[in-house]
Amino acid sequence: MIRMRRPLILYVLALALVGLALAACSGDSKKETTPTPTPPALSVRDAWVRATVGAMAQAEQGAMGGHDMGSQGATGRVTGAFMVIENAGDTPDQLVGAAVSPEIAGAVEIHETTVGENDVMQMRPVQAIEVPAHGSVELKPGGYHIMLLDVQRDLNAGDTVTLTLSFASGASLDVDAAVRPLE
Amino acid sequence: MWRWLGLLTAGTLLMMALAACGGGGDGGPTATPLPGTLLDPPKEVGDFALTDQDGQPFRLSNLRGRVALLFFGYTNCPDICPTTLSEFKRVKALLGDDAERVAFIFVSVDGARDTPERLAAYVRAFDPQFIGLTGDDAALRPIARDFGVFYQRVNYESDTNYLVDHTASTFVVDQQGRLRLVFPYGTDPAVIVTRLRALW
Repeated sequence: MIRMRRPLILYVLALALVGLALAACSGDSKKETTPTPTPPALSVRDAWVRATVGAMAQAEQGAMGGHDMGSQGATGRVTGAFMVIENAGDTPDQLVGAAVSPEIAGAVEIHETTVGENDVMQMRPVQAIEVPAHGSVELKPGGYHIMLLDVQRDLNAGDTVTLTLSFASGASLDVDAAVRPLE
Repeated sequence: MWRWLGLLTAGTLLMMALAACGGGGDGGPTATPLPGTLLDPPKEVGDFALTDQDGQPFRLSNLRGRVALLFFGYTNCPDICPTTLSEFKRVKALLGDDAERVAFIFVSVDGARDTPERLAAYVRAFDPQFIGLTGDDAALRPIARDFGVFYQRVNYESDTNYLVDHTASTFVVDQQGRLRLVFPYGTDPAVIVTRLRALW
């Protein structure tokens, strides 16, 4: 029995060291458990919308006394909105919806773009985007975006689009997104 | 004996823990080769005929003597496609005077919605010299096969509302009309420029 004690101590020591190492690298945040977790505290920064294209084509066609304008509009111009959503609270939340004035776009969806096997790009609607507690999520090209469909008018650099975001917690947030040029 | 084993285990575990920890930080400059696949020997691709943004017929062979940078996408793509065309714009700027050696081409994989007019507005929003090409499925399929490009309509809701999955790589066809380089999505424009300059 006595012979066994040393190795046991060594194992305990080893585990303690590993624990310490892991603790050291996970670092920051939650030290001691706070008594009552605060609810999600959401804010948005760096919100922008990509300028739309297509206006020129319509104008050109118009100038040429061109064909059916309606069909051009019906092709449904789209664009994406991007931003960083931050949550300063102790509770995670989820972005579950977004809306804009019907004068801006006919429909709004939350999408995720993934570039997968063989460099194939896929874009899919998602139900929700997680906003972690004491963290943030970035909606950016090549990842999540809010897609505006059936865009009703030209969105040019310098314009502002107001988006209303809704969250699983019931919170709602109005965000002014600046329209950025295509380049 | 046990002691050694114990120490050894402790050491190993500690190293593993530290390794796991370092992982997220610096990937480390491990002298990786430049991104992009060089096709050696170059791959012969068939000449193709599509319609350009002015409604004129366009053949790949029109470009002989110039290098072509091609991306396959669609104008209703709010994300990857404009990002790549922005990068094309940067490639062009970085090339300076050598830019005239290169044709920048956006090939639509959505011929049903991407009319020449629409393409014209789209590519010219990035650069007046960018070329937009479109065609029906019958014209596009053999081209996609030659280049190894995948595309497929998904989330179909109506003739005007659907998405298209597609290969997001950038392809380089050399002065002799042969496929020479393939860059994965997101390749640094500076890297593309370096590899283009090696072609002349």
